[in-house]
Amino acid sequence: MLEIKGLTVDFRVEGRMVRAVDGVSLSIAKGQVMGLVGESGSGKSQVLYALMGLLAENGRAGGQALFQGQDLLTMAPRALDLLRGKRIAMIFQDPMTALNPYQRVGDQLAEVLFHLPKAQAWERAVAMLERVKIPDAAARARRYPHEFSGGMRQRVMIAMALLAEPDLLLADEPTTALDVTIQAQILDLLGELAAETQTAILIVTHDLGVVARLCDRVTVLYGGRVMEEAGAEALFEAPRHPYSQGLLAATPRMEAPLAPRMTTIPGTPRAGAASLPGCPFAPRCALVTDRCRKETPQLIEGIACREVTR
Amino acid sequence: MILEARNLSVAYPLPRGLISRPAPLTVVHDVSFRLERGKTLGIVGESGCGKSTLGRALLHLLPAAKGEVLWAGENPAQMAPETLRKARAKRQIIFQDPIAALDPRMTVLKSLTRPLATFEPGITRAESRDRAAEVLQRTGLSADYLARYPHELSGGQAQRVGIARALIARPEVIICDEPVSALDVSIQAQVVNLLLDLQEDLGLALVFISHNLAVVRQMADEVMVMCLGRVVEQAPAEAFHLSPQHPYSQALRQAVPEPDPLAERSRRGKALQGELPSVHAPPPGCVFASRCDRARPECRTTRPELAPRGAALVACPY
Ligand SMILES: Nc1ncnc2c1ncn2[C@@H]1O[C@H](COP(=O)(O)OP(=O)(O)OP(=O)(O)O)[C@@H](O)[C@H]1O
Ligand SMILES: Nc1ncnc2c1ncn2[C@@H]1O[C@H](COP(=O)(O)OP(=O)(O)OP(=O)(O)O)[C@@H](O)[C@H]1O
Ligand SMILES: [Mg+2]
Ligand SMILES: [Mg+2]
Repeated sequence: MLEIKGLTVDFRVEGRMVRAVDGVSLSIAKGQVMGLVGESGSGKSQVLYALMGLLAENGRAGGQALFQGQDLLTMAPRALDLLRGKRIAMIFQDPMTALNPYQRVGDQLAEVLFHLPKAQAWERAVAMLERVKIPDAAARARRYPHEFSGGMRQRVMIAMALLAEPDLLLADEPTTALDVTIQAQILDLLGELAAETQTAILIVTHDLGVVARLCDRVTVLYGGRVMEEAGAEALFEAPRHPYSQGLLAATPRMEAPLAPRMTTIPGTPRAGAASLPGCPFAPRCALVTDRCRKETPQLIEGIACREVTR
Repeated sequence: MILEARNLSVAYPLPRGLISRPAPLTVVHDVSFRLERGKTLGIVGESGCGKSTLGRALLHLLPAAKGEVLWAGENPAQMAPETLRKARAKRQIIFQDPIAALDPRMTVLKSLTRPLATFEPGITRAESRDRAAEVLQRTGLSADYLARYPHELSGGQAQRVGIARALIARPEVIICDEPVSALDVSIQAQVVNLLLDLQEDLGLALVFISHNLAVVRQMADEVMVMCLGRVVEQAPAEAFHLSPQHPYSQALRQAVPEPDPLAERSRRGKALQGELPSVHAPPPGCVFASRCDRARPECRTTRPELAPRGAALVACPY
């Protein structure tokens, strides 16, 4: 369904080009759910924006992103417009900036179904709001985004994406504003979508519990590069890359005894790591060698680290 | 007591109808708590239950419809403008929607130093730039980001700018509305640890709104659980963690996703069911009755009051 090969994203910042995404490759089959995890600023959202043709003005994408065989990156803008919102839908990280503040929520949803008569589109929109557990959906549809709570806006975005019945769903942190009981319902809804309509899903999340519940496979990003790609079970059972290991070790567990401070990964990420040679994780890695600092490790059989494959 | 709420209710005016003017919509009912220096009140609850509204009312960004808010014993609604301005400098908020909360036309540097200019007039530009760089660094972002505009930041970077902006004025109280929701676990831990350090060193008091029960457990001294604008449980944090009392609290506790695919997969399709009640037509009885597997007929007709049970207050007699 989706095959990304060597995707790069560069931004012009103060006259220089800064690389945010550096050669990301991944593929997702029909009905499959791929999780995209990684440190804040590692390029997760930019991967999704590049696929949607929605990079900021100072951004450029390179590489290939084949959707049902067509390259999204070189496609004519009009052709991409046709795909977007219908075959490919996206749930944005920041719902307030993605919703139109001056339009009633129901109208924004009904617009997705522009091919239907207005009344019918409205009815479908309300039904979808009910499926994402918005209470009193019929009345709520007549309200504006600022009258919704953070989590309700997030569910409006989810409803909008689901109404399109897309072949590919890109979801950027879709459940961060939901309490865990509603989050579980929404994740199950996404899971059903993948199973029943064979939608392929690429979901960005920081919550490894979300990955565990929903994802078949996981791609781990750090500093704009793929560190590891694995089946969900394999990754949780035996993470191979030192960064993946750090992520799992830093994941809080409710059953564990309470320590005075939370576990972090020592060190801080380098700004602009993707523009520099060497492994982006090298400065924080316990296994680091001289070679790691000079030569960028390639992703081979799901892992970009020579030290653990030796 | 640095921050206190007494039977606080908060309402939104509803848009004027054609004929009548409807009563304001009350979305937070009868909340009371006391917060001391250096302590944290954790607030959890369902989406739309009024947490952000309560947070804004605690900072007097929304008026109290009933009851009162007290800042170190004084009601901000009765303060003279100059006193209010000074008192406000000591009370900050980290907003839930990080990118929308930043002014799109201002660089990070400007966003960070603007509160300084108003709260500490006389501070030099170099001083305020240093303060901005230092506080940003403590949230895990280098000074390189000072020149960026909000749309040039990732979600988690914008969230950290929001945190830095709240910290820079060295406040006594911060209302944190989902402050770490966009951060990866390592940076989340770094920010949580930073807040804990500031509490120990400076006696910073926090109201910490979050859906992340693991983080709430780490941060909070007391936990308040809300459902549809009402407190259903209020308890010391460790007691709450060990044995949540209200059926909604228990449902929350059970729904926390664990990083274990096999366990999670077996829970698929078993999420809590039932309709969520609406603020526009609140049920006469318990706000959780429609989803509670132990609900009795009387739960749907009479609303249970908060009553002591052990160290906790619980709004469920069963
Ligand atoms: N318009 C822009 N100009 C310059 N740099 C940008 C721009 N937009 C994003 N960036 C940078 O690109 C990098 C990747 O950003 P991205 O939004 O993809 O991160 P992310 O992985 O989604 O992080 P988060 O989890 O915090 O949302 C970040 O370091 C960010 O600062
Ligand atoms: N400006 C407004 N006008 C009218 N109603 C509003 C307004 N802002 C919020 N509401 C309503 O008030 C209720 C409480 O909203 P609030 O944002 O406080 O919830 P929350 O607990 O923070 O939820 P979340 O976890 O989803 O952020 C919701 O029903 C919401 O729709
Ligand atoms: Mg992002
Ligand atoms: Mg909120």
